[in-house]
Parts: sequence; C-alpha cells; structure tokens
Amino acid sequence: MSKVAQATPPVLRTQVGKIFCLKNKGDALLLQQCAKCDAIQYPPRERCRNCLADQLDWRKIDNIGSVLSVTELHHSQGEFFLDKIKAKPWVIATVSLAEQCLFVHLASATFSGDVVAGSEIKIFTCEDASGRSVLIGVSPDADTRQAEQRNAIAQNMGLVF
Amino acid sequence: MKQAQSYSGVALTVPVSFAYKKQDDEHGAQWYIGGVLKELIAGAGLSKTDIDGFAVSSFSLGPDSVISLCQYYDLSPRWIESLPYGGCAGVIALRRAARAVQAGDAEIIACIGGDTANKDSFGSLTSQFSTFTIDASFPYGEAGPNTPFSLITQNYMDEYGVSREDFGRIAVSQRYNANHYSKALLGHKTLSMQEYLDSRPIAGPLHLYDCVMPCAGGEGFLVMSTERAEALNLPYCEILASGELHNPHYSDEIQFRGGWTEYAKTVFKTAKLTHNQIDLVQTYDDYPVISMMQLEDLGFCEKGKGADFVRNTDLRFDASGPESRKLPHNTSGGQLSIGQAGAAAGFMGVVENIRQLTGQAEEHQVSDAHYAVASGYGMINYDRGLCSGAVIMTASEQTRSGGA
Repeated sequence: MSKVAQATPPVLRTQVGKIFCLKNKGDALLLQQCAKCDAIQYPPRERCRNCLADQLDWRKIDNIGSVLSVTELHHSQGEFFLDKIKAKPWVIATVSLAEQCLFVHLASATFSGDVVAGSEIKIFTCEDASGRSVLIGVSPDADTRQAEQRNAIAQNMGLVF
Repeated sequence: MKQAQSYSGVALTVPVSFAYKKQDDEHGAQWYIGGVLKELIAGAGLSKTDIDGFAVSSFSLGPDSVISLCQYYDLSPRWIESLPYGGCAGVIALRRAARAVQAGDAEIIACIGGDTANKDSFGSLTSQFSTFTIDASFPYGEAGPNTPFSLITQNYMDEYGVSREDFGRIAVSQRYNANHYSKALLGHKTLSMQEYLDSRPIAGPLHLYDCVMPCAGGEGFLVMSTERAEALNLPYCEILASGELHNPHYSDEIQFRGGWTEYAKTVFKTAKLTHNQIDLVQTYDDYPVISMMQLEDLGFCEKGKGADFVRNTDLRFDASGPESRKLPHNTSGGQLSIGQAGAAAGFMGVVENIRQLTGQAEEHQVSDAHYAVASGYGMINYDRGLCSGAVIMTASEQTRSGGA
C-alpha cells in the first residue's frame, strides 16, 4: 500500500522566487538591490522596479522592521495550514522593512507582549515543511544566530515536521 | 492634463445577468460567456453577425481567450479586447468600447464577464494569481485574498475608528436589497446585524458575511451608438464621465485609499453633478472595507468618515430605512449577497446601473433613478488592489420620456 504524502505549505515558486530561497538559508536576510539605482526590491523581481535595469544584486539587509498589521487566519485553502488551524488560528503579519512590505509568519511566542501595528520585529528565513525558505517574524530580542535556534522557532510554530 | 473627450453619442444597453450557480462541474467559462452573448443578441433583437466588437473578462476561460472564443462561436469581430482586470473589468470595458464606437472602430460591442466555479477553480486561481502571490503571500497561510484584506480592514478600523457594526451596515443593507432580486444566490435568506456580528471568524476582523461566496455566472451589456439604440428601439443609458487609475499611491505602506482620489472630482465636474444629485451607487464590494473606501474616495464623504456616513445613510434600494439621507447602494445586493462569479462581478455594477436607469429592475427598482455611479476595483496583487475605475451614467432622454 502506498504511503499518502503529508501536506506541506506551497512548494511552487517562480524562478526568481527559487533564487530567493537559495540565497536565504541563514540568519542574514538577503534582498535584491539594484546596482544602478540602489532600489531595494521585495517580492523578488527580474528587473528593477524603479529604473528597469536587470542588474539586481542580493545584498544583506538590516533585518529589523516595523509591524504594519497582524491577522489571525481561521481558514485556509491548504491542508497544511488547515490542520494547524484546528488547534489555533495561524498568525501572520505584514512588516515594513527597507521600504518594502513583507508578509511573514509571526512567531508570537517570542514576544513578551501583544504584537501590534508599530511593534519592532526581526525577520529571518527558515525552510518550512515544503523545503522552501519563508520569512519568520520574531521579537528583536530573540536569539537567532544559530541554525538550531531558528529551526526550533520554526518547529515550535509548526512550520516544519 | 488634457480634458477627456465627452462620451456623447454612446449608448449602454441590454443588461444581462446570467445563470448564477454556486458550483458547476459541468460547464466551463465558455458556456457562461456564450450564454451571456446569446441573451445580449436576443435582448437587442439582433443576429450574431451584427456583433462586430467583443470584450471579455474571465479567470477560468483558459486555455481559451477572447480570440479563441471567436472561433468557438463563429464570430468575426473587427475589435476585440481581453480585460484581465477583475473587479474593474466592467468599467474598463465600458470605457474602451465607448471610444471604439465613437471612433467608428466597431458598431455593436458585446462586453461580457463570465466564469465557472468547480470545486478546484477558486483554489487554483488564488494560489497562482501572480508571481508576487506565488513567491511572497500565498506561502503564508494559503488564505488567498482574505489575508491582505484582513490586514487592510484591521488597519482601517485602527486608523479611522471603524467598528465591525459599521461594516455590517453595508453587508446587511445589501442583503435587504438582494432579498428583492431573484438572481441573488443568497437572496432567499435575510441577514440581521446580530447574525452578521455572530458569524464565524475567517481572518482577523473578517467574518463570514464580510467575504463573498465564489460562484459561477455571467454579466454583460452592449455598447453602440445612441442612433443605433433608438433605431433598435432599445432603452439605453449614457455616460456622462469616467476615469481610471491603476497601481495608485504605491508608496502607501498599506492600502487605505484607491485611485478614485485622483479623478473623482474631475469626473463629477465633467458630469456637472454634485454628489447629492446621484440617485444610486454601485461599489465593488469584495469586502465591506473596500466599499467604504470607495464611498470616501469618490467623494460621497471625507476620508475617514465612511463609518459615520454609513451610520447615517439609508443604503436600501427603496429608501425604506429610517435615516434621512438616502443613497441606494449595491441595489441588487452586490457580490456579497449575489455571489462572486469571478470576473463577472466586475461587470455587476455597470449592468445593474443600466438595469436601474432604464427602468428594468422590476422588484428592486430604485424610484426616479436618473444618475448613477459604478465603481470598479480589483486585481489583488500581493497586498493591495491595483485597478480603479469609476463612471457616472444617466438615463437617456428617450428613456426618461418613456420613448423606448
């Protein structure tokens, strides 16, 4: 009898989305920056959003941002998140960082109080259960220098098996 | 900026709303679009060969498109448009078709939005909506447009002191309107404020009745010259002014305004109308917050005063509410109560205005409907809606005098 595959978060990414995942496997956050006009880009693109040049370099970005908004998802179209939501809502946030808007999984447990608009937040990347790197938002006080620490946060959230 | 040319001589006619159904595992978008086309032709007393312009918007038509539909239905148009603009597709179709008729590029243009809805169609649409969706939003919870709109709604509530009850006024009044429109999929059920407030949570402040029900269906209208409409003895309405602007205010960190802020004043000035003279308005209501945003940005009230506006305005089609200020809004129920048939929802407002202004709304007819606004918004890419459009329409002199 064949084993039924476990549901994972979406594995689909575009070509440049796959490159984002390859570049972001550590504590540092790398975003594209245009070599011509210095404009930073997120979500990843093939040409500069500002000057249309196609020289976008992956640069390490200061990964402390500011929360724009937080939401609890009580429903999902995907089996992976639907399964998590059975226990409690899945929390995500949008974050302003380097003048970009980033969707992140919110590790609420790393914060001592409520996370609201304007809260400071640190962003790191980690592979989720699909094997793709995703953005996770934690308290700026959370220590994420070691891979084990980052993986533990992702595991506590339920993002990895 | 040069002033836009007037729309004189252009007629909008034959409003069609077609075959709304919650789920359809049998028919594709081709069937719905063809069905609207059939009703447009019959409604105008024309033959298929009279249609020489064809504008289509659909999410589920692929791998077909407007051009392959020409072969599908043995059409030979000399003007075609594909309009992947979601909730703004109807307003944009109207604008493009009107200019084509004025320029003599086509004489009778069918403008149609249609989509099917099988059990997989909504999920596959939202999961691959754009590159930004694939790479940077869908992996974060797979919740489709509910995610950005819950964030936009929460921000709006925090910034402007809007309560869930304020949004509820929009949903509840639209349900009242839908109770008088036989094609509304939720029109057979009433909705009280308490039921709205008590409904199950979906994402953040969004609960069940803040979210549209995806469905199958079609909407469409014909664009032709006023001379042709009169020769065909068709009731029609005319365009006084319109505007569009896309990806507006892109430096705003979170969307709280749309493109209407930049052209609404000009549109009303061109139409030579004040907001008090508008008899009815159709906003694109994928979520109540966006309807409120449109009412503000179109100038019916100041920015941030939308909650106060809906608290003190009767939004029912028949002005039967207790509020002294009357503005019938989403008079057939909007997609919140009719259902969102994909791209057809982007045509709903224009079609409903044609219906109202030509006195064909039957049980949900607004009395003395002379001036109507339809607003479009759509294409939620990543964190915000990108398209905006608006049109002010008026009943023709011929219709007002009972000529047609």
